[in-house]
Amino acid sequence: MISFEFTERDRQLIEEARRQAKLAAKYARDFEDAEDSLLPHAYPEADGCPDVRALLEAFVQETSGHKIINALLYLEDWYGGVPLREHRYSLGNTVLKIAGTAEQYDRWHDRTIAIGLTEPVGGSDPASVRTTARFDPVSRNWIINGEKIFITYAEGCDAVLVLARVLHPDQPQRLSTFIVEKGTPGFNVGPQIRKMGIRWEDTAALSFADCSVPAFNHVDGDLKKTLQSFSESRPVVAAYALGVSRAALDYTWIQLGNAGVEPDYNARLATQPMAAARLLSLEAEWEATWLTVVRAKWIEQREGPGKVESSMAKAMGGMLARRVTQACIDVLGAAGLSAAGPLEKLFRDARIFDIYEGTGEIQRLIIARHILGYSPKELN
Amino acid sequence: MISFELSEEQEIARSAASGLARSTLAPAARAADEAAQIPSSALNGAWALGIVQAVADPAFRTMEQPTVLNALVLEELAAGDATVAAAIAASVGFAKAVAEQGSDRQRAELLPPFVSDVPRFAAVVELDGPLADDTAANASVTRVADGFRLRGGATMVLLAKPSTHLLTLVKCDGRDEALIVPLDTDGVRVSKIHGTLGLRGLDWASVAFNGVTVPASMRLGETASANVQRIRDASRIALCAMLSGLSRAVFDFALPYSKTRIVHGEAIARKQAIAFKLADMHVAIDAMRWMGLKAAAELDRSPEAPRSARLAQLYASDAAMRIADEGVQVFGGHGFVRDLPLEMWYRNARSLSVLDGLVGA
Repeated sequence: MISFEFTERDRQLIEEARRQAKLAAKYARDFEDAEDSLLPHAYPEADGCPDVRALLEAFVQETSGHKIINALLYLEDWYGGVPLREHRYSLGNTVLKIAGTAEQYDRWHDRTIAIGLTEPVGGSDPASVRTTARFDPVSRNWIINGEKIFITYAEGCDAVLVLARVLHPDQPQRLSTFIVEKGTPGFNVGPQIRKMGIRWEDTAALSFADCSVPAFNHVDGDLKKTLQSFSESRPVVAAYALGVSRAALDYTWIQLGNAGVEPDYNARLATQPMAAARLLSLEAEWEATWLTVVRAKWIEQREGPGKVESSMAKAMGGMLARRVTQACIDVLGAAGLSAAGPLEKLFRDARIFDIYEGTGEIQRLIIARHILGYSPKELN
Repeated sequence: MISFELSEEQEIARSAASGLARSTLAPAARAADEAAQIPSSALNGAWALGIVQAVADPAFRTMEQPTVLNALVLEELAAGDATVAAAIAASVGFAKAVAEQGSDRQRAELLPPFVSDVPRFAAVVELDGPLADDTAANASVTRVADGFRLRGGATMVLLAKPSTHLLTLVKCDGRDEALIVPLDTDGVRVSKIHGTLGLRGLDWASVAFNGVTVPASMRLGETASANVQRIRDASRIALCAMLSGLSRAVFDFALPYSKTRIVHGEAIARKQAIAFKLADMHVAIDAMRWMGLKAAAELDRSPEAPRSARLAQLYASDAAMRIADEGVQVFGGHGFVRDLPLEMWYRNARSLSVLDGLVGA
């Protein structure tokens, strides 16, 4: 039977996460002029606050499921702006889980492993990867050379899982993944990238110059397995977009309320104030996106990550955040521009969701190929 | 506990409606539009699915999630022909309001005719102001000794001719009321509307209430005001369901065409401009139908669902209009001609999306 009702435990976790998000909100702007700082492991207010992720693990049987609730907890983090407690959603770890051996998993599962995919000439086209991993028959090590850009957790991670082109005398050329630990000679992290928004996020370029890693570090993740991690993460990115959009909508409704404009769920859009009408349409889009995200995660809980449903959620979330934050400033006028209010920051932060982990266009390609039964060659 | 899984009963009902829509409704939709009349075979088939009867029959009152089931069936019917779906939804709207909120006497008197093998009609309308040719200055509702007195009109009423009753939503002394008005009441005047943009088979009329007296016994619930919000919510859920069905029809028709239509040496589906339109349709259709079903599930367990129902209808109205619009565009000139259903769907999408309050699920 279909149901969209939270369990008691779902509600409790989400409400606690919202409470904590509000506690963290006062730190949300700390990185605006301090982009080189890294997010603290926890803010002082975290003391005495339960760790909602730990509660989710402990009481998962009483919830609507780990995947659904975890995504909705991320929504709450982004509602506040920065997480009260850092809990990294790192794709390198996901690929390790998917493609690594038991020994490899044991060695790195409790480390933060960034993912090194994007290169200066290959953002949306990871197959164009130029970074190489050359097999050295003498040392039996892999020698990595190349450059990666826009890498999340570049500075704070313990290691990076790099997608590279395999050069092996006895093997065909192919893409595979290698774990390069921090401190490996030849592995360098560039300066923090200056971004429009999400300035608290640790983002930098990586370079590899004759960087030698042991054969054990070869995690046999091809491009397909690497991209599979996106099927888990894309609806989570859409949940981020929901959090930012919710914050913008809530703030705007309060300001409109102070000006005497309230939503009327019964009146036609045409007979209520333009501001209310616009926001109601966006509320509808918010709700549509929420369902798409929860559905993708529901499917993941039952059958494993669904590639197409994930892309659907991501496409919706990416566009929602753009539209909502643009409209909210438009509705409130010049007052929305001031850094004294939240909108200008939400507007800048929100723009990333339709770009990273696959642009909206990439999501649409994935969806379109699926519904049309086309291969990447037939539709690109 | 969140779940997107339909029950077996819901799946069976959905599948029966879907079969009927494909075999009987869709093939007859164009002729019905041209003739401005729903063929009785389509209507009888849809009626025989039994959703109105289930609403009206006390034997089914223990059914789980009746609104969800109705929404699923209406969606499928509308994928075949939105006109037929709307006709059924009008009766559902009326019968459900009476079944849920009517007094024992009102139920006993009004519902049995709907538990029938032949289609019966009634509709929900909103008293929305004076009609153009009316002498009344404004719509008004006044309390009189034995009930209510109505002045004003309802501009667009579907199937007024074959209907027996109108459930008329009014505001009186600042409160919402639902009044049951038999169409043969003194002062009720039905004027046929000749020609409408879409949903042309619904025999549209305007209805004027020229000082119509509605006895207290015909106030829905008799002793207290009805929960009109619930009636509106059911109407919005029905509209969302039908818009979802209509959108699916467009998508299912446009997709195979785009793969066979060759332009500049390759199928138009292989061009992003077209492929992305189809991808966006697919995403929006999924979102709108789940929004409607979420609102339906909420209405099935609570007295009202104003936010979810309204947002579902808003999203669906926008998205369905866009989908029907892009459907025409994918077909180019063929989308504009009346040989293909695209232009009809375009007109029907615009029509459905402004029918707030006239139907129910």
